[in-house]
Amino acid sequence: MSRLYAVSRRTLLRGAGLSLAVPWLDAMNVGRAAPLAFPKRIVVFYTPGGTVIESWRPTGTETNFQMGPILSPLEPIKNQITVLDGLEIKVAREGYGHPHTRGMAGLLTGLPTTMGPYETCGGKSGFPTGPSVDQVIAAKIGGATRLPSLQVAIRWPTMFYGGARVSPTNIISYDTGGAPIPPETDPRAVWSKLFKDANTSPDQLALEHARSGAILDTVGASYRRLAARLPTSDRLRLETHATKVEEIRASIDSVMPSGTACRSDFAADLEGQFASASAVDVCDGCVEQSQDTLIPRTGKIMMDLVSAALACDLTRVATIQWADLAANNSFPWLGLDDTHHGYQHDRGYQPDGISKIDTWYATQFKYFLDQLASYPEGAGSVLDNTVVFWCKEISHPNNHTHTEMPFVLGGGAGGSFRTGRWLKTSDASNSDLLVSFLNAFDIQVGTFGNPDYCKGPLAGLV
Amino acid sequence: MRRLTRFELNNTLRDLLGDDTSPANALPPEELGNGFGNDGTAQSTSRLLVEEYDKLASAVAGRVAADSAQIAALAGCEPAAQGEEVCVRALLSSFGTKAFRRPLDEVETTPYLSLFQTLRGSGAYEDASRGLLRALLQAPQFLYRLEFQASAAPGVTYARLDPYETASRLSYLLWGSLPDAALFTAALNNELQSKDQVRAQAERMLADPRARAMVDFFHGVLFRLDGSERLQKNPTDFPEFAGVAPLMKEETQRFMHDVIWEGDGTLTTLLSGSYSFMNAKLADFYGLPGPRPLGEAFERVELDTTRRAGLLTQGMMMALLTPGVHTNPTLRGVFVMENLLCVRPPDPPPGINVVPPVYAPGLTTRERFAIHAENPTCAGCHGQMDPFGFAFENFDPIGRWRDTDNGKPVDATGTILADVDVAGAFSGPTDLAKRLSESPQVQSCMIAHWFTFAQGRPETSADACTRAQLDAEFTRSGFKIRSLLLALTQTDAFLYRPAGVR
Repeated sequence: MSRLYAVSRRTLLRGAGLSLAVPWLDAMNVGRAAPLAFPKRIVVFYTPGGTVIESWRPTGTETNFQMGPILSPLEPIKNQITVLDGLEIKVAREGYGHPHTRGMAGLLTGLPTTMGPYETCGGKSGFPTGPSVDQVIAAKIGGATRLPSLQVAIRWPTMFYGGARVSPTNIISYDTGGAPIPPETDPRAVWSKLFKDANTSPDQLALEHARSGAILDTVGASYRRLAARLPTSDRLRLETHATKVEEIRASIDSVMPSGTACRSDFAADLEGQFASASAVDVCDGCVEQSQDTLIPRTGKIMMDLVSAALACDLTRVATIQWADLAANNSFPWLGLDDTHHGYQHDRGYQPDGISKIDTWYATQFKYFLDQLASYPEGAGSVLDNTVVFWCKEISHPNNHTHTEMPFVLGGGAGGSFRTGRWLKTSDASNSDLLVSFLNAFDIQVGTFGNPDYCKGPLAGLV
Repeated sequence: MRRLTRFELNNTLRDLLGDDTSPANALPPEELGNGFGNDGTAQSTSRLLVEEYDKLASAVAGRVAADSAQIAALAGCEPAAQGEEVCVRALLSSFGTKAFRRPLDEVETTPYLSLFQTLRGSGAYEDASRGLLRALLQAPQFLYRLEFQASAAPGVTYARLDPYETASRLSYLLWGSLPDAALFTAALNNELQSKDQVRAQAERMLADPRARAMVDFFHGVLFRLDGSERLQKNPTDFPEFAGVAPLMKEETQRFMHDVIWEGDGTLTTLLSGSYSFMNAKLADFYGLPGPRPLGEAFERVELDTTRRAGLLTQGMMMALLTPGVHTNPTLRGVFVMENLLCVRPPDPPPGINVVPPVYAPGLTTRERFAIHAENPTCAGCHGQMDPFGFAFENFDPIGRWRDTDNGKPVDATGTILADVDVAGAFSGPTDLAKRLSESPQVQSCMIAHWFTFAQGRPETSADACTRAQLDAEFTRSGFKIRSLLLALTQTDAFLYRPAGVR
């Protein structure tokens, strides 16, 4: 792994106008004032399936507690953690399809699934019909950064039915128009989105941006012009397309902000194979352990990329999806030869297997928080100004319940949330938590998603 | 309005530019929608998708423009000899017509000319051409299938598609790609007006290898065969499955190709044919009795029709329909109901916890699934779904024949209770397969799938005339799939579009 250099490279870059790989960036800030306060960020860290709640739950009191076996990797950093105990995805009481799918759909939207054509192995369902919390936040704060938000997935998709298609079984983010947002699965593509400019001289960059701008202006205008000639439903589709082109056009000129050094040289890490290089490599019913062995490596680089993107202020909103709810991936490096779903119930519920898997995910969650903590920001670190929401779509692996959800927060979003606690709640829903997230980002709403299942911000969090 | 699917975009770029790298595979996947990804109403537009379109266009354009001879060839024009503006206009006229599947008018051409000039101001001719291609390859006329040229007469709710739109309907239905030179010429000369003209083109096109790829794609979706050569099973439970999936896929593909393109071409044979294709390794895996003169190569094999007959009884289908390590009659049953009979089983009641009956040593799958019949909460729906799956209990999770399950004899007899035309008692897998292969409901269901694929939307009551025509033609042909494809091009649904409100 690259070492972190606390050295400004700006002078070097400017002087040489060079295009060699730059291991660290704090340069290229042209015409942007340094932010007055550090930005707040939010990351959703999704791992599929239920957990073994008795092994997950801490012991002790709210502020003086010991992590249970599954969360034990977080013990050393528990002052940065809020263990959220007892929430329910209440909206999953409604909707169509399997409880896995209803939980997945409602997790970040607070909305039920609709009627639709998507196989869930428990009836069919459609997408929820509104935005996820991360996208509402991105709509508010995302304009300040190169990417309004960043969605990545590590082993995705793994669903048997429908194969490699976008469906309510594999999506957690929905844009403000309610459209599902598929995640990036190729780390090279993520790197390119974030850092491809890093190796280009400012002059060359200006030229390329001007050319891309002219091209995308033409493309956007072609959609607008044609849309005007079409019937309403078609017109709306082309206008949506035009809007996305225009958004991308507008973000071309955004440049690396100054103030924070972040890692951008991932060349060595980006060589070779990853767990989901292409969605067409997924087949119905495949359990491709050859691909599964790549999960740890892929997960690490995705976490490194996302943490660098946050530290460099290239985005402030991200989702990291380890798999989809089908979780038909295996964990050969843990000595487990069945799939994650298999341990949930295919051969009967196997708590030992689930505990091993979730303990491993806890080590990954800690790794990610450690990366954020490794970037200093003011007197603290990027982690202090971020909230990372580790979530799942069901609680009990075999009973498919949505009560007692095993949720964990890392970081306090710039003092928005008090950390270092085991917060026991009763009769609260995930929607209440979503309202708390929105409020932390100065979106003053009292309810989110279906109001029948939301009582306002989660008590005791702030 | 449909957007090109990844399958169509790959084919289009191949036929347009000779780019056979399948660049659209890097796009985010389509919404499932109707399963084929071509359902306009299900296609959403994420920022990621639009970014990926730009990346794709940029990469494809870069490969083309790396070779100035190729740009000249696309335009049919040498800039050094004929002048740059002439050549850019020529590019928009020749390449542009193909990419947009119709000639560009002046309103469309002008912005591209000015883009070229802007880009030329800061770069070489090749750079500006690359940028122009990058814009064209993500234009709405390229990525979407637009049909709005002809306007209906007042008071008429349907409009005949114009010749270029008709050419695209033909090429995207039968090839999943853009029209070829002959179709463009026919469109230019207004020779796609009569049904006979359309039919003659369709017959010509069905003889082209691109039609096979399209039928493979259709069946790949319908029978979940896409990528099935990579199917893996838990190696601890099924070590003998290593390396078998590609052979099974080959078996199924060869069988389908033989039935549809070489054999009698009927749905009946597809679902109950008494033969298959195997090599020695696959025959060994199935435990076919010897002596067999088989080697590395796949050859036609006559089947013991008390065990196997037709697609459903092939190893690939049975292995695909068995996620996990135990057979699951519900999943196999639901597949037959939905995909072959077009019957959607009712959703589970709200709040129910959907888990398969718990595995227990010493019990057969059938015995475990008996709880579905005993528990009144389950029985209403599972009584309809599970019997279809019981018929296939002789096939283990990796598609081998079995006479016993957990040491007890397999019972693959039963009674279909669902309200379908194959209802009644069955005696085993090939009995059910035979009845499905002759079922009018299955025939009708296949028409519905093909209609959905062809039109990018499900049938509605407004398609009654089209449906009657398809039913009649499919029946008249003795249920030949190729005849159904030809019939699809002769319908009102194919030749007309609703005259939507502007």
